[in-house]
Amino acid sequence: MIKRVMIVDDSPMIHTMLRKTLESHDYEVCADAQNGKEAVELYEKHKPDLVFMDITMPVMDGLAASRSIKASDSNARIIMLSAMGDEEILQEAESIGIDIFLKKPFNDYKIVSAISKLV
Amino acid sequence: MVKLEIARPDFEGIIDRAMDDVVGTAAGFEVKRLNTATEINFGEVEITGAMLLPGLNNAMLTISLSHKAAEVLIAYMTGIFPDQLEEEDLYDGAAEIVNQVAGRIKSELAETDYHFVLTPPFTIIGRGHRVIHKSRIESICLDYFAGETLLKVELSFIK
Repeated sequence: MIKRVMIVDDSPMIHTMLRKTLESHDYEVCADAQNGKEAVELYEKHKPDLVFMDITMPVMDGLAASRSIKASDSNARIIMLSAMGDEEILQEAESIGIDIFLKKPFNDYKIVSAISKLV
Repeated sequence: MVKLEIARPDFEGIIDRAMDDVVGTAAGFEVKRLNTATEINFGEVEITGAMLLPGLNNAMLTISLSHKAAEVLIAYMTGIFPDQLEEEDLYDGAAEIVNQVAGRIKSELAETDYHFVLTPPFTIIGRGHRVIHKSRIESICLDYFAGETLLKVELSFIK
């Protein structure tokens, strides 16, 4: 069951938008990270049920962070959220084991639909 | 010898779709491109979201709007009332909008000579500012009306 979610993005606006959607559907945002390195550290600390991960971030990007999280927890569930959608990126995301790849922009429906596919 | 001419992509149509997708989805607004003959009070440009787009034909994308327009747009996108938005919210919002629009444009230009990579977006602020390019460029400048907001989009290719 998915209840606790971590948001990883370097844009405060994305955090605000996602949090609003998630909390209105009774999900708990248990952690916020601004880059991939923080994401890896916070994942270890909070063990969220689901991670929303951006790709382009400073310090460590989302693909590297996802790879690291999946290496330590193969059952980690990650939804990648990005403005990019190149075939190369999609293939790399798939090889890492990203559960769902969502292209920005997103709305309530897209987010909730994506989560429901993982349940 | 037959000289093949590479068709110029329909930049206007590509930008239309990107704006409709991004602003329409995130803010719930109907997005309409204004024709050049439309006289409308744009208001003073105060915030510009920008992104450099390196590729075979280096480019830059900017989306400019007034402070008021930014408040309305970001309010609808985030669900935060305009009077509760901080300045940083507007600057981040402008950068995120240009990021997403660039992503959409990128997808449509991927198989063309105008393909590019995304770079970190940034925001230019200042009342009445303008973005002036020094090098020879080809610019596609389009104005959009979305909700109660007016947005100026410029996609410039450096020749």
